Amino acid sequence: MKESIKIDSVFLNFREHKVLRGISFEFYKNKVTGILGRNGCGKSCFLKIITGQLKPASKHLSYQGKLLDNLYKESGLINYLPQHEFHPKSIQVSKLIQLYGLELQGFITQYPFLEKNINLKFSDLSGGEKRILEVLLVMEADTKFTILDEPFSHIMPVHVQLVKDRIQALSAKKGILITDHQYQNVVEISDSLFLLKDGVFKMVKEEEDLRFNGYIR
Amino acid sequence: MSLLTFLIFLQVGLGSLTLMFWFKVITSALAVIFYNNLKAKELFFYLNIGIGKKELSSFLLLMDFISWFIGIFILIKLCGT
Repeated sequence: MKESIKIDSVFLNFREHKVLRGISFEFYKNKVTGILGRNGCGKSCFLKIITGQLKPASKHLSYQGKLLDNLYKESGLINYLPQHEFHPKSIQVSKLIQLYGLELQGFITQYPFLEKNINLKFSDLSGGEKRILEVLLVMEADTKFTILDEPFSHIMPVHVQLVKDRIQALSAKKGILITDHQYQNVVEISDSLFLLKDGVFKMVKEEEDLRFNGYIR
Repeated sequence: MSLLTFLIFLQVGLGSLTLMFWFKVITSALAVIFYNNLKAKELFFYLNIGIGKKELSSFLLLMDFISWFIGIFILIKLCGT
């Protein structure tokens, strides 16, 4: 049986506004699963629900048949890259790498452009440097699944390509769930793709489906 | 808040200890809530390295209380209150 995380019967309302209407969704280890959707469609809410930061009206979340309140409850199961900067400002870059359980020299050898920043505090990095470091730390850490919310935002094109290449390589050992507005990049690397529209997921098999659903013109 | 309780303790003496203790309990709880809101964006960093929200709050509360108890203990020893 393929290792997977399954979530269904997700209902989320904000007053009268029904954001998520009984979502059912499953994503697999060794696969890249992409989620697309317009601003405000509920993508980030969905990610916050599975990571336990938002309580929906109802949900049913499980990993290998085991019911979970949120995915962080199972040690080493997931890590998550939120849209916003999320590391403490005063921590040194080298310390951060080690806190993620990564071997410092190996990480620097793999990403030599980080070497000049290794002794700096996180707050001393530029916006783009902070973002690429956060993306790489979360991706490279040893978890069964990684959830990436807008990993391509605020990073330069050469690093976007690097992140895409690493996501594809890392999918050999973990499951990756990704959402981003740079939809071409998500389409390119995803093994399966879904569009969140009108509170439910619609499977996307080709770019024409995105056009048909009004996501692109 | 710890400093305030120390000052009151110095002024009033041992008789204020019970009151100061509960004052410290309430203000510490409020401080943890305030800190959690202030640092809400950093929560995912701690979750990603395996530290849950409850562990984080408990650690903060414990450190706050230990430092307060040490402060009160030193005051009792120094002043012989």
